[in-house]
Parts: sequence; C-alpha cells; structure tokens
Amino acid sequence: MILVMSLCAASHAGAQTRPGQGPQAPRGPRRAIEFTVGGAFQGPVSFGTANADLLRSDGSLLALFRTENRSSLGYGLETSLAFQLRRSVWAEVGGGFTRADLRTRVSGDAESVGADTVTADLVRFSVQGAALWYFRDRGRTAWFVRGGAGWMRELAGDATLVEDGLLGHGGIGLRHWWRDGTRGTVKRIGLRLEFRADLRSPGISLGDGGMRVGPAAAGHLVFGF
Amino acid sequence: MTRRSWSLAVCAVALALSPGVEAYLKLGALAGSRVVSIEWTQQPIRYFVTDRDAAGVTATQLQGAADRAFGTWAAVPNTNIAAQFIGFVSAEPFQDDGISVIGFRDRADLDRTLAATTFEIDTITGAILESDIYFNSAFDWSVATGGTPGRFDVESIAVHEIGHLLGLGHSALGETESNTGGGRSVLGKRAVMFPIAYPRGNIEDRTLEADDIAGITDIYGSTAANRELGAIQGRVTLNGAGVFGAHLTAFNPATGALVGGFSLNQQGDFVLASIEPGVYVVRVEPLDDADVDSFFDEEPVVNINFRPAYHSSLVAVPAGGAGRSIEIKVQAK
Repeated sequence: MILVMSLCAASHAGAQTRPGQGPQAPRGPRRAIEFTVGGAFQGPVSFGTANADLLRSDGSLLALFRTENRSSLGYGLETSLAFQLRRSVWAEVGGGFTRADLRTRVSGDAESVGADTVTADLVRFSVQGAALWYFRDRGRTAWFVRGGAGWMRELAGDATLVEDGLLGHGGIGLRHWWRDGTRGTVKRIGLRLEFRADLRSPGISLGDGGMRVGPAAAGHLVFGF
Repeated sequence: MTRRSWSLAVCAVALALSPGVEAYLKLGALAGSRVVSIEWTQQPIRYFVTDRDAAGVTATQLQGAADRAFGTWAAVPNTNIAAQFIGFVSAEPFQDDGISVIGFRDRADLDRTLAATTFEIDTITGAILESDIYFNSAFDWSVATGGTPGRFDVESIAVHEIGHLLGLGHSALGETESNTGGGRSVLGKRAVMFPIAYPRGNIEDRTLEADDIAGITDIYGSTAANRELGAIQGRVTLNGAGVFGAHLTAFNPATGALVGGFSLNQQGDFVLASIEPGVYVVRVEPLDDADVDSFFDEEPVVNINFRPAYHSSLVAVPAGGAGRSIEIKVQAK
C-alpha cells in the first residue's frame, strides 16, 4: 500500500513539471518507513501469594506451605516495521522474544522445611501491532506515545508447557536521529528509547490467570527509509 | 481367570496396594511379575443394598446416600463412570456371592472401622468382578442434609468407600496427630481418600478434591482427559538410592490444586498422572501421617527415615504428556 501511495505521489508531482525544466523531486506528503531492532527489559511481575492448604474439620485452613510467586526481570530482543500514516502518526507491526524466570518462594512449611526459592525458565514470543503519535518534534529528537496489542506464546520448563495469550502495552518514548540525510536507501539512523507498561493475559501464570501489568523499557536502533 | 479378594476400610484399614510405578493412588494387582491397575471394565456398575436398617438410618436412606455418592464420582469431567441400583436384597456385604452389595453390618469388635470395601478381581486383567461395602452399624450414622452432631455422615463415608470400589487406594494428603488413647486425629486433609475420616457431624467429604479427581481420572479418564491433562514423573533418591513409599505432593499456585502420590518401587520412581497443565511446586515427605499399612502391604520396605524436601525447580506440566523426568534428592533424618 505504501509503495502504491509513493508511486501516486510521484506521478502527481510529475504532472506539475513545467515545460523546459528538468524533473523535480516529488512534493507530495512524505510516507516514510522505519525499521527498528533492539533490546528490551521487562520488570518483575508479582503473581501474588498462594497457600497449599489442607482443610480442617471446622472448615478453616491449615497451610502445608506458603508460596510467593512472580516472574523475574526479563530481557530479550524486539524488532518492528513502522509506516507513516500522517505527519505525526505511525502504524507499526513487530515482534520479539523475552527470557525470564518464574520464581516461587516457599516458606511456612508445616514440617519446618527451610524457606527456599524454586524457579523455572519462561520464554515469550510475541507479535504486536501499535500506533505511535509524535507529539513533539524538535530537530533530530522527537517524543512519542505508543499503544498497541498483540498475541503471545509462552513456554516454560524447557518448552514443556506452552500457553498462548494476549498482550498489550502503552508508553512514552523518544527517537533521536544520529544521521539525518536524504540520500541512499537508508536515509536516517537513530536510537529509540521507550518506557511502557506491558499487560498480558493469561499465558503461563503462577497466579489467578487475570491480567498482569508490569513495567518495561526498550532501546532500539532505528533505520529510516 | 484368577480371583483374589481384598478389603479396604476407612479409619482403621486392613489391606491396600501392591506396588507399581504406573499408579500413584490406584489399586494394583500383581499378575505374575506385572502390575495391573484394577478397575471396572463393564458399565454401569450394578449394585444391591442389603435390606437392613441401622439406628437412625433406613436401608432406603442408605441407598439414597450411596446413589448420591456414585453420582459425585460420575460427575468428574471426562470420565466414564456409571452405576445402577438393582434392588434391595437379603444378601450381606462381604459374601462371595457374585453381586456387589452395600449394607450395614454390626462389627462392634472393630471399634475404629467405620466402613470397609472388599473386592473380587480377575488378577490377569485387573477387572473388578464384585465389590461390597459395609457400614459398621456399631457407630451412630446420619443422612441429614447438613449432617448431625455426634453422628457420622453416611454420604461422606460412602464417597470414600465408593472411591475404593472404583479402584482407588488411599491418599496421604493430610496431616494428623496421635491421640492419647490410640489412633490418630485429622489436623487437616485435602482428599476424600485420606484414610482417616473427619470427626462426627462433618460433611466435607461429600465433595471431591483435586487429588481424588486426578486419581479417578487416571483410571476412568476419556480420550479427552488424556489429551487435556498431564503428568509429573521422576524419582526420589537418598544418597543415590531409590526411596520406596515416599509421599509426593504437587501444588499448582495458579489454581490452588494439591495432588499427591507415592514413589512405588525400589528405584523411587513415581508418576503423578491426570493433573491439570501448569507450573507446580513438588514436595516430598516420609509417609508418617497415617499407618503405613493403610497404603502399602509391604510395610517393611517403606522408607520413612528422611527429611521432607522440595524439588529444586518448578515443574512444568504440559497437556497430553509429561515433562522431563525429575529427581528429588532427600537427606536422612
């Protein structure tokens, strides 16, 4: 679609060329494309506490042991392809993967086993769509807000357990161009930083399976075409 | 066809389970050197009720409680269990007469046995041919909807005994304390199939727990159950050697489900089957919260001389299978 729009813009500009002059660069609205690749960090997410409860005869509970459950700080790679829709509005599709640990701290054992933390690896693959709005553009640096949603697949225990889920995010960031030119296929190269809140549900959980919210940060190299 | 009779009771228990690595709370029988799980191969299970009342409970009321208890087991999703009441008979339970009978018997001599179940099985195939249940009329019984203080609930005990009738052994998912006058009292439990009943007046055992559901699904689970549920497998070792009779507990923090099982051979191998997919904490402890002979008929080989411990990792359980086999290393007391 972007290619068709570019061709239309070029054709329109060509019709405006005055006789006796050489062809000019198209003046229509610029429809840029950006490719990004970089790393991401996801903050720990608490799944809350859960007790391994036995039932007493009076209906009250007797904890065999207690657990506190969370996912650890995660890290991974992300990539995206963004298309300029309007001067300040972009649409983006992307994906990535993240590694983290599921962590359970076991305590309060009825037979006095010492407290311990047990873990399992967690890998998440995701595909997302997002919208970006550049609300402030000063020279080489521009600030944006971003929101999106997508699908994820999570694998735990050496990929023994596989669960699919939905995810979403919203956040703020900035893009800074190191190189801002008009020649070549890659006209611009820069860095994009963002901070966001990630939402996911249900996926692999140590909690009640409800929506989970956690902080995340990402740093991407940006290539403008 | 070879026949063998067994009996199992709640509170004080007679015989139990032969060892086999494929079953964790299922009853098994040795067919030569091979262990086969015992189960009903023909449905519905046809049963009779002895036409004899006990103090406060008529035979008709007993049949009603048995019917509800069968219904509780039959309601487990993705299983194939059905029972059919045929009629009242003069036959007593525990007679080798080719029919399955539930009824009251006066066994005042068994002052710690509320009820008991006996089997006649084909030891080649493991098929149950006949199973009888008696309720000891020396105790006070009740069929009141909300239970009756001072009386044991017929339906609660019927759910337990019918669990045996269907092929389940005892679960060890409970904590107990010794009574000064002998026997044990339940501090807490999470399985109807725990061998010690709640006190008089309690009706909690009318409701199955995750452990009971896993056990019955392991025996009578449908193809869908095999596809949707998973397992944890591994071994328990002490100084590199297998531990027989260790009690394992798997806990899913996401659902709160607790499922128990045992290591069932000299290599310490265990399988916790028919459990929901998810991530589990696995704990192991010695079998010291009930008489060992409530669970195994090879008491001398059950090792209870080790400390409780947790597996060092969370265990991921997939749908339709088991993850990598785990090893839980324990230390001697």
